[in-house]
Amino acid sequence: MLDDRELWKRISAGDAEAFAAWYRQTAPRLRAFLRHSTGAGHSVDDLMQDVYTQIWRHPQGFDPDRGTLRVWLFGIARKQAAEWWRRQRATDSLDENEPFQEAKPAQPLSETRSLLSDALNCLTAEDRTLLWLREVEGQSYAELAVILDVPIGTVRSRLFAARHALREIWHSNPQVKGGRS
Amino acid sequence: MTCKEAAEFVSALCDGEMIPAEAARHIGACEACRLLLRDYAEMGAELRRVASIETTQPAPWLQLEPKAGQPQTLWHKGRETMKIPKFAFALLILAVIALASSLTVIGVAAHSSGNLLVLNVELSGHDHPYTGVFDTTRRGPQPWTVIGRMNQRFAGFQFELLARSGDRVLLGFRSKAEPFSANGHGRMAVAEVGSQPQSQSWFEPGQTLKIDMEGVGTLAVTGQWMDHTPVFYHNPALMGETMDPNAEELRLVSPLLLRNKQEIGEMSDSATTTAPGDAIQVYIPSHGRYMLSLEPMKGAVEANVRLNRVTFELNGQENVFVAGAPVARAHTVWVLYEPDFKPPIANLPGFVSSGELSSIAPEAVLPVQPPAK
Repeated sequence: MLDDRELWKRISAGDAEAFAAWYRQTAPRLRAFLRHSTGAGHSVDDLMQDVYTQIWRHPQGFDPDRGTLRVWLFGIARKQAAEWWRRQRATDSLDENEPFQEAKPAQPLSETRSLLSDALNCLTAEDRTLLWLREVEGQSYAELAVILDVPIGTVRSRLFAARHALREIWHSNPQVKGGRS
Repeated sequence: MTCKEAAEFVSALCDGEMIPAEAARHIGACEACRLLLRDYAEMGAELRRVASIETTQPAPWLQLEPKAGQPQTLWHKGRETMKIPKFAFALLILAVIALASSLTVIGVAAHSSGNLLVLNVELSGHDHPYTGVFDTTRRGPQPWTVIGRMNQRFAGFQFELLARSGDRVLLGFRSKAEPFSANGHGRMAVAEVGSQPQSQSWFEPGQTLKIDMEGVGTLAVTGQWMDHTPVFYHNPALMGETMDPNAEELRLVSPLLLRNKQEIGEMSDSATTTAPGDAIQVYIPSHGRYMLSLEPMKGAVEANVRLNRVTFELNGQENVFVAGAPVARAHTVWVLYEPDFKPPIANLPGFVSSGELSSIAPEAVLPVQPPAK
């Protein structure tokens, strides 16, 4: 197993094999992250292509002293997701006459869908991103500070706000066991 | 300290962060704060559970462009890596070109433009090559799986296009082989092949990639880039040849099924059979499976063949398969309809494939009649 510096040396030198191996190792988790942070559905694969193409074209952006390759990857993905959201908002604003989508009838929950993941979709994109990176990817506060480009203290307060919001939405659903709030 | 003041520290505690002693004392003594901590932990566990399932899905394939500034040609590569006089290097290149002139012709053909990769796979000791087509403009996994009798084994292999870099592609390969059962039959699901460990190799059309398939033989993989799917890609011997089917051949190219002139399904796949005992299967989700054979099958109805149309009646309704090429030289084929057929993998899209009837639908094989005395 290559360490980050060695792996990056090879990728920077244009070693497509090393890059493809790294892609296969990291892509499934990044895809899940992008799917939940954007809710982009089919566009997720396009976003994935954008993220990895950007890295392949401009690998010099990685600084091993600032964090791991994984941190850098998720940082780029977060920016791409934010850019995607900006584009979506711009597109939506052109369709002001478009009626709001009617609420869909309740769908049965599947193994990849739960009350909590539904509640997650009700949060802001920033809160979803933050919670996913912390709870699923296990990024430390220091790593989150690098990815989000904010001070560590801000990471703590934003995480609290995101958890608080998620819990409120989660418990407002009558199907939650115990109905706590 | 109040619960409101401690709330942010509950969140931090959930992350394993150090918190002030005063906050820790409050949380330890406060039932509401402990409940909050439990909720946060439960929320994290649930998100990780959902993620665990999602991250088992394979990644979409990736298209890499050749990097600007990277050595692209032998000339550039040589200039960057060799420390010999330029004129000597130029002479060396000329010598290589002269020696390899016969190979160059093949190389040019293999590097024709196009986004479709046509793979030809020849198995040592096996008569017929296998051909698969990958569309590099499509996102998402495109596994190509072949299952059947391979030399003395019942075996399957699967190629998957994982990435593209210029003219090169990264291919994933899986295989499985079993001895035949006591009755001489074999059965293997695509998922069984797909669950085998995957090896990966970079491959450039124009070259030959050799892959050992344990217990079966060596696969010689060649390929070419094309800008369209050849009509008879499933049979390289027919590519560019007449559209007339061969004797003993049943061929179904991109069929469309009509029932009482209403479209039931349209498939982009194609399949062909040339050996006695083989059949073509057409699976249309929510409609079931249709088996077509040049020989009678148990429960099958007779169908009329006219050029590219196969017409048959089921439950008083007229059904017609309209194919992209003539179907058979014979005027009659047999069609067996199985409305309750369930593919071995749930949510499988429609497909057209061929194989030995005894393998893909053993219950449809008619018993052998003893010769008349």
